[in-house]
Amino acid sequence: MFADDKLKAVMASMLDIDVSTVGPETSTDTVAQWDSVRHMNLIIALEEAFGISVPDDEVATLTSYAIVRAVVEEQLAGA
Amino acid sequence: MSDGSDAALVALQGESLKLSEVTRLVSEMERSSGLERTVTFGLSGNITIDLLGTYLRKQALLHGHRAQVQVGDFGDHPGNMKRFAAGGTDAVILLDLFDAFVPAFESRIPLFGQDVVEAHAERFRSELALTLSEARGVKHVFVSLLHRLSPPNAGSASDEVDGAVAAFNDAITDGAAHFENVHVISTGALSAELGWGNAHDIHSYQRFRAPFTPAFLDRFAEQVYRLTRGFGSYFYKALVLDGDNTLWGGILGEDLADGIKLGPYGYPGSQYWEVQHDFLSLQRHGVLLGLCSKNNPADVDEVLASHPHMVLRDEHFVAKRVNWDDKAANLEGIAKDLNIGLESVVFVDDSSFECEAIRNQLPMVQTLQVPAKLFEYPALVRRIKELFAVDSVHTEGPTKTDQYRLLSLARQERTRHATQDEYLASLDLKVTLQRNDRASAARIAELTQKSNQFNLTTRRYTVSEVDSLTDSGGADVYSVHVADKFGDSGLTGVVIVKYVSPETAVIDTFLLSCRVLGRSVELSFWSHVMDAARSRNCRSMIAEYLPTAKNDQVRDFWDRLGFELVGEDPAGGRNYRVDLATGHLAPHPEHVKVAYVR
Repeated sequence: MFADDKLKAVMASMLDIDVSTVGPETSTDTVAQWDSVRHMNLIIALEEAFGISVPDDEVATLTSYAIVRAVVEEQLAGA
Repeated sequence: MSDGSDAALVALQGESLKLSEVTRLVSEMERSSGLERTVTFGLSGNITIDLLGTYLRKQALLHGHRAQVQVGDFGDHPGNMKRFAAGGTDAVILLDLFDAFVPAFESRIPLFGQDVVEAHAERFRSELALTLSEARGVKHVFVSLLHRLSPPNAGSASDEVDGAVAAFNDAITDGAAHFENVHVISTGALSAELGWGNAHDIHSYQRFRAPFTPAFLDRFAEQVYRLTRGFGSYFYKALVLDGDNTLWGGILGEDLADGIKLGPYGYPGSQYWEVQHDFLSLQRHGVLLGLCSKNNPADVDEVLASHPHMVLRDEHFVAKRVNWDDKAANLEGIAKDLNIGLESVVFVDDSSFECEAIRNQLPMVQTLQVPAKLFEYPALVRRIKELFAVDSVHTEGPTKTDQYRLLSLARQERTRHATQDEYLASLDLKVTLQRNDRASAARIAELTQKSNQFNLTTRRYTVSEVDSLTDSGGADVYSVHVADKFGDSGLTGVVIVKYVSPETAVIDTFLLSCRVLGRSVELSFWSHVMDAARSRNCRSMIAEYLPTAKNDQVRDFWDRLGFELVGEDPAGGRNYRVDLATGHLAPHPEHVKVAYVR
């Protein structure tokens, strides 16, 4: 079972948005403050929270909730 | 502040919070709290240090204000300083990584040759001089002292990288010495403290040029706040120390001056001897030392004057309260003597009872407990040194900080128990009185042998003597057990009543261990002792006080209990009597529950 709530909580904290608004619509296009610094901190927080390592070539592609969820799930499965 | 943000404040003090939790709590508190004061920071580094901002904001909230953080351009210290200074920034932080001054610097140093490395060091030195002079108008400037990222070679005392790091660090310490507003923070020391693997994230260094972990940046921000005394949110001036099991091992009243544990050789005495040196060096740095101990003053004076291994002597303490009063009153007295506020006082004691009492009654005092695991004492001493910021380059006067303190004081006041009585009531004190329990004879005998201070007659008994009193039928031997919410103190008091004639009971012995004093235990159980005498048809009970060099504190105990003084001899001995039919004893202390086991 993927911990959607945990992922939503981490993304909400790091992007400074309300956790109830995090979902399929959440992306760099809809969250104005999702800049490069927040992006970097989001990656660090995701790795810490889930105990994973985001592959280097995926870092730049994590631009929406759906993609983040897919990559985190994939890393958890591979771990 | 709202209750919600109080809860967030408590959560933020938690150990090992994850980055996302800290980020959420910080944003939440900044939104909801009505903090008015803001400290502005400017960050400048040759690496990515944006995350340091989160931890500075966390520290700010823990110290009752907000932080506003601006990150300068990458690697441009002089330009950043100029902009920060022009913008009226309160504090700037230069956090660099040695390896990042030149791409792959540490790998290339062995290949560079001495002259190239020297040229880099020289360039760094002159740029730093420019940076620091641009920052002259900023109140606080923090410069990181550098360390190497690659593991040092265990097989050689130092190599080229060590030499180059040392040259850069020389430039930093020289530069810092010229400017009063500059503090130095050693990244190598923080990295050693956390452990190399916990301080660095090499993957993140490669990807984001962000080599330091959240844990490292958290600790770095803590240092920034320590060196500025929380930007004036506190200013500790006095360190008040307990005696027994704080300055020396053991209980002076029981173990006597030659029995306490203190000295250069042999654990645990060596541990106390060591920390006394640390306290002495704090005193040399201008920290006021106070002594607050429940002991006979003469005993403590003797130790201060004559114990061969005391490091701290009478002259090092500016205020002393050695007596049997409650410690809250004594701390208030010490603060008054020194003309400082209680919020400037750090208090150290080994007893949970005393520490909790001060935290409850005087929450503005920073109360620290000597760890039960004694080998952890040095860690507590490090924390004490940090509180006094004795290594800070410059200090802010207390007058500037007063206004910031008022707010936090008002909040602390809410949780304060109004009186010592309320505190005692919160302890759940339970006294169990046991009569003629043969299994306790050994402990009872031990207490009669060791107890000096709270001992009315100081009669010493052996185990077999206690046994024969218990079995005689002509006496009752009571043991007093004390427990409270902090734990069980065990068998800590003895009463021996001898029935010397059909109508008269004599209290032959009454003693209590020093550990349970100050809680009115001594007034709590007498109705049961009286009842036992009445059931034998005794008409009166007789008690005496026999003075010794140690037991002055109980001279008026029988008066306090409600006995009638019937005679006093020239040596100071006193005789008392109470009529078992008509006499009234002092009221039972309400906060003590007594159970009686026949």
